[in-house]
Amino acid sequence: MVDANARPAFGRAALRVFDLGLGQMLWSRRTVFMALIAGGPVLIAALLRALASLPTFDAGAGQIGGRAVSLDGPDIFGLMIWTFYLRFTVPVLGVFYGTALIADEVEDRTITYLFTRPVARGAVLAGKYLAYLACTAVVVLPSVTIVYFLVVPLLGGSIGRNFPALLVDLGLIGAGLAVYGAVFALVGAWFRRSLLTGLVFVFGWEPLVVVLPGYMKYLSVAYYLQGLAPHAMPQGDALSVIQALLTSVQTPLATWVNLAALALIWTVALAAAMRAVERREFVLGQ
Amino acid sequence: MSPPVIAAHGVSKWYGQVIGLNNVTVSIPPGISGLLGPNGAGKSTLLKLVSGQLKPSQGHVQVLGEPIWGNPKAYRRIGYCPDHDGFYERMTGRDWLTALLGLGGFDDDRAARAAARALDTVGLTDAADRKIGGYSKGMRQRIKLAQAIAHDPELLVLDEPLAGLDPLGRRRVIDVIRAWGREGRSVVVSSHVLHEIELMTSNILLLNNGRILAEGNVHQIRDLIDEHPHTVRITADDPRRLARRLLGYSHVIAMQLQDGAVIAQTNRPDVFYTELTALAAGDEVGAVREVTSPDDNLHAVFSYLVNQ
Amino acid sequence: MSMNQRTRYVLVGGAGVMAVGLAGGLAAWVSSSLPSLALAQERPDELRYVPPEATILSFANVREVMDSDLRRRLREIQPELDGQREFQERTGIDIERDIDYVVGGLVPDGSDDTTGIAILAGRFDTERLEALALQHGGAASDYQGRRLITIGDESAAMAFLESGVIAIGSEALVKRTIDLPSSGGGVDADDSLMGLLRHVDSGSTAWTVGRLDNPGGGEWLPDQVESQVSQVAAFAIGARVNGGVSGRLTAEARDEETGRNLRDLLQGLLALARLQMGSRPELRGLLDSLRLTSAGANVTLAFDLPADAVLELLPDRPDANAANAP
Repeated sequence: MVDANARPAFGRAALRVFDLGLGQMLWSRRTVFMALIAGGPVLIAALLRALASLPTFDAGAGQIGGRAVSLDGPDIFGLMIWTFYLRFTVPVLGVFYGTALIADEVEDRTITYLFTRPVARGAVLAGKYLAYLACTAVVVLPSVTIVYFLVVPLLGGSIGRNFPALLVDLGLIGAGLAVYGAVFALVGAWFRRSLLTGLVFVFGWEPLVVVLPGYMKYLSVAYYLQGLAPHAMPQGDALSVIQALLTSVQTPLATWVNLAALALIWTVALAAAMRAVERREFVLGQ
Repeated sequence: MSPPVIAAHGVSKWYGQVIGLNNVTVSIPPGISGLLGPNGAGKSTLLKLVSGQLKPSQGHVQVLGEPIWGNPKAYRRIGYCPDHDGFYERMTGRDWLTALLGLGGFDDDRAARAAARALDTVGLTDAADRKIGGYSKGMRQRIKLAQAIAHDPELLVLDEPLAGLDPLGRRRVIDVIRAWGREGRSVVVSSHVLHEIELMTSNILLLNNGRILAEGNVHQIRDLIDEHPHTVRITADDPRRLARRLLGYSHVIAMQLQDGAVIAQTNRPDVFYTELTALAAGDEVGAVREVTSPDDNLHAVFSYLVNQ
Repeated sequence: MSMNQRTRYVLVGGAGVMAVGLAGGLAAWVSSSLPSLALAQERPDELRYVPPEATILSFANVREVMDSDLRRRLREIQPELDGQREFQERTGIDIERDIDYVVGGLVPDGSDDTTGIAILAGRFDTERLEALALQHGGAASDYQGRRLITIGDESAAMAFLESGVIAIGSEALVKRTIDLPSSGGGVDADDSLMGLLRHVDSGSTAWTVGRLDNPGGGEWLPDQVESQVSQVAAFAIGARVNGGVSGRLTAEARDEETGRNLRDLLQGLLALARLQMGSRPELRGLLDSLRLTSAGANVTLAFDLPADAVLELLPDRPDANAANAP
């Protein structure tokens, strides 16, 4: 007969769910999509590298809009980190995986087996969230590292001198995956049309509020990530315009404020998501 | 008198505007109990309420003396086998059971031993290391049962555990459930086939349109059922040969072939199932893959009961 | 563990890429940092003659500048610097060959003012220099076993510290310089100032580092600019002279927010300068070569001027094309 008190603690239960969920998540249909968006920058970087090896390539002095632009490998890498990863890959993966943490189990009708075990439902969400982090990190972070080694040496850039910036970038992308994942886990637990809600947040709300004056920008994740980006953008006029479009106004917040804001968003979103999952009924369709 | 394993008091459950269960008050005693009713009667809703997956819209449910909604500690004492077919298809049966047991607080060694025992009980030891995605329907039913019994719970809650099983699989699952009851543990099993329930218990709960119609009165139901021919749909490798063989039985009153399956009507379902199992065990008609029973006749019986 | 083999391969593969990448990057970073350490070891010995109170410190490898391709190009345009011949005739010093390097320091003098000290290393005719000083009303004496020559009203002095090393500055500072080896050492022991050399690239021909604990002198700047500049705690500039001039200027702001503001200010100034490039075309090469970056409280302005761009900047330069003509 059973020992009625034998029940794994929250952390252990979350790790068990992580173990169970990681393989399912990694080999899901979304992995193809993730491989495409994480592999895209690598392909572009390889293309740039190939172009740079051509004898006709004019190193250093590009022309944009008829004006001279001083651009080197670290500048291009910084631009790629911001445009490809922080403003696209990270939030998009957050939306697609975060909103599906529980929804996938419901759709596949496997949620029953998890929610009839003697573990808190919050632990199930936490375990799935950890699996999401591992799954995305194991694809995105190597992609960033490969892009770094392909792009930074271009046009006289130094791999060694820019290495600390790579570490900051990796940390920033990890933080972005964590915070966006938590926010969209909450969206997935709260909203019925969670994917649509998430996409509207990423491609509608965030780009809009970070350029608007006032306090609305504080209700975004991108604003705080932007404040932590280590790269100063290239100084050519045309690229300055691009920079202005992409980064909007310069953040006046100190690093610790940005970090504290991200930590707060992460904590509140994850706790609220767990609470929502604990209280919500998941009715499987026939 | 032993306290009930399940006590529901004034329980209702609505899905938006649709009513799933309507003011149900019931006490289910220890031992094996059958929940009989046609599709949409509210059987699955009641079992989901009992297994803590749904919260009553009204009333309260206690299982093994504890409230069940939001009380995961109590889940350790319950084994639930759902009616739906959803799995981690890429996992092997053994890995899946071991992982679920880990979630139940078993360490790796104990989980491995318990999984092996459960697989043996449902007759899946040979297929344990194959991916679930490659299992037949009967095997999938049995692995579902295995995950419900693997952690050795006090109460088994089984939602249509015989649906889609071949005759031998049915026999095995019925044996498992009866053995469970003989060991003094409790089982609540749902079905829309009276004959299946009868093979496991005489303690029956009749459910229709979200209401309890009767408890334990199996004889009246038996008589009514006998007045309404029982329909059985059988999928087999050689349906024509099977149909020819079945036509020889006096209790088979109608027969037709439809989409490669044999649809038979009998007025003696207990005899019919016994003889079908014997046929499936031999080589005479080839492999019998799946046996299901459309519940049209049960609907007719319940309509009669409700209108009485 | 329910994780299957394929999943483990992916995890190990991802971790492997990261491990190799991070190890490679770390190795490259360490090796790129080593030259800076080497530079620290290559600090000129004469730094020990600069008083530890110095707030700004400079070094110039005069010999390397004179031997550079840029100097060769300049020599083609302008064979001789103004007054170079006269200076050599009076002092016996050929600045093209006789001065190896110069170390300089600015030292607060107790009031709001600062005084400077220069240490020259090279090959000097000391007797000729002493005679020249005496001829111009100077006075020679011995101080701590070294020859000290005061000039004029004793506000300036020159001392021969050791063979091939001369100190020039105020008499009080030159005497302090002579005293230093026996009174605890010079600025080379000041980790705070010498630490700024980490911002200077290895092999720089000339560099200047300084701490601005109480910066002043920016009154002529617009208020907003002055307030930002006053937030600079330290700076370092290093340049390498060969075919052109390349290097970087790093400013350490007092905190990260100030650093960002300073970067924004410089960005604005650069944009403004570019707007005015139409009226000052000679600045195009300089402005195009500037690259502004920031990390934390540090703001760095890197530059890489080819020889032609440097020549463009020369005031009243002779026609280069004419000089290059056969």
